Amino acid sequence: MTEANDPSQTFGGSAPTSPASPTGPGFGFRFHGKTAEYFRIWIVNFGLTIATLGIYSAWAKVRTRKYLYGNTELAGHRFDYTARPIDILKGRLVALVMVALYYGVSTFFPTAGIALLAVLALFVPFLIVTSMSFQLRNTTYRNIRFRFVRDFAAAYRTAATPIVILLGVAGLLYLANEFSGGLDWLADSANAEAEDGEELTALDLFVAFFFFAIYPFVPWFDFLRVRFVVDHSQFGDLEARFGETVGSFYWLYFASFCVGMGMILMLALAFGIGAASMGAAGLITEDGEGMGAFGALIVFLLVLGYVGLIFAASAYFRVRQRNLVYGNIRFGDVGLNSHLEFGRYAWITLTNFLAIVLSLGLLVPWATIRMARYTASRTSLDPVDLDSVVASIDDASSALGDEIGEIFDLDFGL
Amino acid sequence: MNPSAEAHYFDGQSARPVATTVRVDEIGHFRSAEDVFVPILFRDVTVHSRIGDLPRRIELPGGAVVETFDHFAVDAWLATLPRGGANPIHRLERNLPLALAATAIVAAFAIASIVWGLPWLSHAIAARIPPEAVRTLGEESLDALDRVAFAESELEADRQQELRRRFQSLVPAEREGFDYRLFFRKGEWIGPNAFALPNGTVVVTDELVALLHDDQELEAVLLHEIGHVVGRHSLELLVSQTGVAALVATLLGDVGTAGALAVALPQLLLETRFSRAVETEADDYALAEMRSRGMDTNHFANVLERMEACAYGDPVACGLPPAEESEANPSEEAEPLSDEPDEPDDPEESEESEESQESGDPPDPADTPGWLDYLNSHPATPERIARFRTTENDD
Repeated sequence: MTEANDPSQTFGGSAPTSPASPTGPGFGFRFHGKTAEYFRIWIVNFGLTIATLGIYSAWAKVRTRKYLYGNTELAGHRFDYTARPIDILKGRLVALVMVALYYGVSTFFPTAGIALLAVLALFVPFLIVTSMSFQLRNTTYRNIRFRFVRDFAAAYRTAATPIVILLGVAGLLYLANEFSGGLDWLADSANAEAEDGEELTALDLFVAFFFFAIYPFVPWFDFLRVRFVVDHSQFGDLEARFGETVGSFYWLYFASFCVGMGMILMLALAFGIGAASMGAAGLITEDGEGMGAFGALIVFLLVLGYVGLIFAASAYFRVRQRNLVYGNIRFGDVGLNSHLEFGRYAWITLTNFLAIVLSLGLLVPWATIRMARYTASRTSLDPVDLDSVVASIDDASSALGDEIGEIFDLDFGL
Repeated sequence: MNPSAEAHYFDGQSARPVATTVRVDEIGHFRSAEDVFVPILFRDVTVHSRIGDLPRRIELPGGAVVETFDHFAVDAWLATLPRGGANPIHRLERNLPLALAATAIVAAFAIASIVWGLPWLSHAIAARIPPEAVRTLGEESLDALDRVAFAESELEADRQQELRRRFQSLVPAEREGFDYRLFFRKGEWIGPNAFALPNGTVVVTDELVALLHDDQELEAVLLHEIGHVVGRHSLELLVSQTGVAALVATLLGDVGTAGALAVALPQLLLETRFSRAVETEADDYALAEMRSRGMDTNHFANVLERMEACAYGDPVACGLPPAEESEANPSEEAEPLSDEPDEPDDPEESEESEESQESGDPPDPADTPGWLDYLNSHPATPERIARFRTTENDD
C-alpha cells in the first residue's frame, strides 16, 4: 500500500466490516465525505457553471453525485452515479424551453397559462416514471445497476384516483357556489368588517375551502405515491416492496398535525402572557398605543417564533416521514431501517440553514456533508447476502423526465 | 516502474466482489495477478476522472469495473499513455486558492454581463416583435384584472369622453400598430394607479382621477404610460425576468432547498433593477414629450408627490375629505404609476407603508433607508420628482 491509500478502507471480500446498524446486526450505511474536499469540488463546479452560463451544470451535477454516492459506503463498498452529463444537458435545455414558454404564455394569456399548467400536470405520472427510471438506472452498487420498472399504465392508474378526487372536490365546490352563492355571501359578510384593501374575494375562499377539503386525502395520496415508487424499484434482481399500510401515513400526518398545533398553542400562549405582562407593567394600553420599540420587539419575537415553529414542525414531519418510508422498504425478508431522531435532525437543519444564510451560501458544502453523514449513520440494511444479487435485464430510457422535474422543483423521489 | 495495486473486481453480472492485484505490464496490458479477467490493453480501458479521494474506477470493455484506492499506481499507469491522463478539473480542485480566485473573477464577470447584457438583449428582442403580434396580447390581462380587482368605473360618461379626447391628442403620430385606447376602472384595493398594456391600452383608475387636480396632471401621467407602450416595456420585462429566472435556476439549481434564500435575493435584486430601469425610461419619454409640447413638467412632479403622500396615509392627498374616521385608501400598491399589474402583493412596499401608518405621522419619504431602494420596483420617488421639478420652463 502506498501513501495514497487510506488504511481505514476495507479490503476484505464482502464481510460486513462497516459499522453495525444503530439497532442491531446488519449493515450500517456510512458517509465518508469530507467538507474540505467537497468544498473544492463545489466551488469549481460553481465557477465553471457560471463561466459557461450554465452548460457545465450538467457535468457539475454528475460530479457532485459521484462524490456523494461514491462516499456512501455499505457493507464495505461504495455506490456510484453513472449518468452521462450530455444526457442531463439535453434534458435541461428542453426543460428551459418549456419554462420560457410557460412564462410567456401565462403573462399575456393568464387563462391559457393555467390551462397549460393543467396539461403539464397530466404529464406528471409520465415524468415520475422516466425521472425515477433515469435516476435508478444510473445508480450502481458493486457495479450492479438499480432499476425502476417503467410501467406507465400503472403510473396513470395510480394517479387516476387522486386526480378524480381532486377534480371532484373542485367541481363540487364550484357547483355548490353556483347554486347557493354561498362563497360570495360568505365573502360579503366577511368583508363587512374588513378594511379597505383586506377584502376577500370569492376566489380566495374557494381556494381555502378547496385545500381544507383536500387535506384529509393527502396522507392517502402520499401513501399511493410512495408505494408506487418503492414497489417498482429494484436493485439488480432484488425487488423492493413497501411494507406499510395507508394507516401509518394517516398516523404520520395526524401526529405531525398535533405537534404543529401544540407548537402554535405554545406560541400563542407565550405571546398572550408576554402581552398581558407588558400591559400589566403599563407598557402598552388597550389600544396598543405606546408600543413603539417594545411593539417592534414583540412583532420581531412573534415572527421569529412563527418561523421557528414552522421549521420545527416541518422537521418533525420530515423525520417521521423519512423513517416511515425508508424504514419500510423491504427486499423479501430483509429491509432497510431508518432511525432519524427529531432533536438531532432539527438541530442540524436549523444550524445548516443559519450557516448558509450567514455565509451567503459558502457553507453549503459543509451543510451537505453534515446532513449526509447524519442520515447515513442512522440508516442500515438488515443482514442479507449481497453477493448473491445478480444484474437484471434493463431497458433504455431517456433523461428527459429527470431534468424537467428538477427545473420545476417537483419532488419525485422518496 | 510498473506499480501494482490492490483492487476489487466487479463483473457487473453479480454483486460479488473479487479481491485482486492489478497492474499494467511491460507491453501495456492491464492484467490481474490472479487472472480474474482477460488482460486488455490499458489504452482500451476507461479510467474515470479522479474525484477527491474516491476509489478510482477503471471500466473494462463489456461493463466490468475494477476499483482501487491506489491513486499513486493509477497515476503512474496513466503516465504511460500518450495523453498522460491529465485531469485539469481535478487539478483545479486541488489548488484551492486558484479555484477560489477563478470563481470570484468568473462570478463577477458573469454577474456584470447579466446586469448589463440582459437588459440590452431584452430590449433588442422586444423591439423586434411586430406590433401586430402584440395587438391581441394584453387583452386577457385586462380581463383577468377585471375579475380579480377592478370594478366598473363610476366616472361620468362625458368626463370619460373628454379625457379620452385628450389622450388621443397625446398619442404619438407614428402608431406603430399599437391600438391606443384609454379605459377607466374603479381601482378597489389597487387604489390610484394607471397601467399600460403591451397592445397600447392604458387603464386609469377612478381613484387616480380623484387624486389629480387638473387635466394637465392627467396628461403628464398618460404620457408616462404611453412611454411604457412605445418602449415595449411589458415585453422587455417579460424577457428579462424570464431570463433572470431561468439563469438563476440553472446556475444555482443544484444548491438545494437550503440555499434557496441565497438564490432568491439576487433574483429579486435583478428583477427590481430591470423594473426600475423601464420606469426611468418611461419618465424619460414623458419628460421629453412634455418639453416638446411646452407643458409644465412640474405637473408630473406634483402628481408623484401627491401619490407618495397618499400612499403614506394622507387622505387629503388622495383627494378624499380629511375626516379622521374614514381611513384613506392607502392601498398596498400605491406606487406611482406601476407598469406591472400582475403582482399586487409587493411585500417590501406594503411593509414600508404599513409601518409608517402605525407610527402616527406620515414619515418623510426621504427617511427611508437607502438600501431598501434596491428592493423597490420603482426608482426612488424624490429623485423622480426632482427630475420633473423646474422653476422655469425652457420652451
